[in-house]
Amino acid sequence: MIAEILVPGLAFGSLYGLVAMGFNVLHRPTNVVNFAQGELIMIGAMVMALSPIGRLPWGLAAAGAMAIVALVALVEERVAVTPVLRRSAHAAGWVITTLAFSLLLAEAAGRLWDDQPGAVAPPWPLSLDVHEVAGVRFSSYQVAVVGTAIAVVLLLGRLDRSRMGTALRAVAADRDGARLRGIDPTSLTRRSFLLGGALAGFTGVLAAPLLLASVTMGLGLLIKGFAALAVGGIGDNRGVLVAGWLLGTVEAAGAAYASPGSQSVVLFGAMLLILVIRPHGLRGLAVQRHV
Amino acid sequence: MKELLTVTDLSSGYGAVPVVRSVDFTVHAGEVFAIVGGNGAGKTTLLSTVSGLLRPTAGSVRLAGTDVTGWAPERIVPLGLVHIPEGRRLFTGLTVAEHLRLGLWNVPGGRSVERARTERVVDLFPVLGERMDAYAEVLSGGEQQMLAIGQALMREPRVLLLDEPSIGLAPVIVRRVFAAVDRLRAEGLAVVLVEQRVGQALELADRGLVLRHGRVAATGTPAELADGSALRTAYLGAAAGRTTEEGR
Repeated sequence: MIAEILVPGLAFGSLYGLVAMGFNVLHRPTNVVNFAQGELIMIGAMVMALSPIGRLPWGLAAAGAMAIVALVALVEERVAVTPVLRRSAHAAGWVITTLAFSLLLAEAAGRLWDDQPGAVAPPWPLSLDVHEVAGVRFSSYQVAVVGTAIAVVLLLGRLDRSRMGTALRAVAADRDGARLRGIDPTSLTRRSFLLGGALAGFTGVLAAPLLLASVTMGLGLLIKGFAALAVGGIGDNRGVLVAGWLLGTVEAAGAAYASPGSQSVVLFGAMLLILVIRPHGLRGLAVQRHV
Repeated sequence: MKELLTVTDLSSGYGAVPVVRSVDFTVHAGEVFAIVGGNGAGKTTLLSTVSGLLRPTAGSVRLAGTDVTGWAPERIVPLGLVHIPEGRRLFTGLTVAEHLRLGLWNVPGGRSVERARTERVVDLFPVLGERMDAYAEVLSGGEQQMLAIGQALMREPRVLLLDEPSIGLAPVIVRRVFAAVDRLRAEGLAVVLVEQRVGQALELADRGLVLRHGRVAATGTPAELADGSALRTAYLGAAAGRTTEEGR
């Protein structure tokens, strides 16, 4: 029975993990959790589904969607994040400013695309056709999504070990202390928003064939990505991917074995249970590993 | 000697509260300049204003002839002024090696520069060479201070601002840190040393000033500062200063 839901669960879980990785990329230099992340992903998916860019060859269309979302994220950094952090690196005004930016994006997308959903075909040679091997049901696109999420974790791991990644960790640990070493936190924040925006756009591109792209898809992804972040641990990209897989599989099991409408209840029930048993998530806080 | 740091009529504070008032001093290459004074005299605020963490309300800071008044620290550091704040402010979750590598942030040069400068730091503080993979938070206080100085040296600065380097350290470690500062001075580095251990600071310094209520109470060589009443007044209050003067 588990074989039937395993790959779809892992594929959707990979999306939740990617949403959470986007949170991590932006959280590093700012200590901000970006509540507009879901809407950024929505824009990436909608560009693929309903804009002229989506009709370009897949690689170009994906790059275009990523670039557009990266620019939108940069605007968010300029208007909703840096002004707040400039006043105080420890203030929590970003909660309301990123939420407000999220609402603005949802409103703008609603006016631009109405409520019409759009279907996106997977890039050749992948497809959503279901195959069955030894009782395991899967599509080539689902497998590709899982593999891509793993590749993103490895790439972010490399970035983390680079000099820029080290500087990002320094800024996260002590913003003024980093400035005294010649590191410009504002410049790093900007670069992180560009990267995080591109990642959100890419997540939207990946999600579009699995979910029907629509202007309302952002909120669900935001919440499930946040669940993966809570369970996997802030700053821990491997942890959030594993958490995403776990939650995606539980959600798929809920849909298959409880009732089709109850998957979210099962998913968040599982999240609550994990957090009650392990308050810092599956692997604990990333920082705690060092002590 | 070449004048590297010139602070003129510098004032700063927090909000409407003035802390540093009209401070003047200059520091030359190959010189240790001590800033001493009691708790709350404004020593740390003065250093933070010079390094750009705090914006001055008046006055100017010139670094090797360049007016850097009001510049952010990240703009001042590349010009060769590094501030090691009180408590070192090393980064949790970063190893010794990562701290040293971070010291080269935006410094041109590849692996060969990194290797050469790391070797120089390890030559000065051999214990760091044995602890390259250790996280900063698990180092002893002395090792942390050495790492903070070592990280600053990776950039080959011209001026080093050292705020309370001896705080929380055993006397033997303090001697080792001060010996390293002495060696850096001999290599031409200008060091501004803020220190609670007045005796040791003046022993090491070439010149210095006494800060009291944010103002310069006295300036001169260690002998001049030790002989005058300003030092006693700064630490023990006005009555102590008057008594010293009257006793002469």
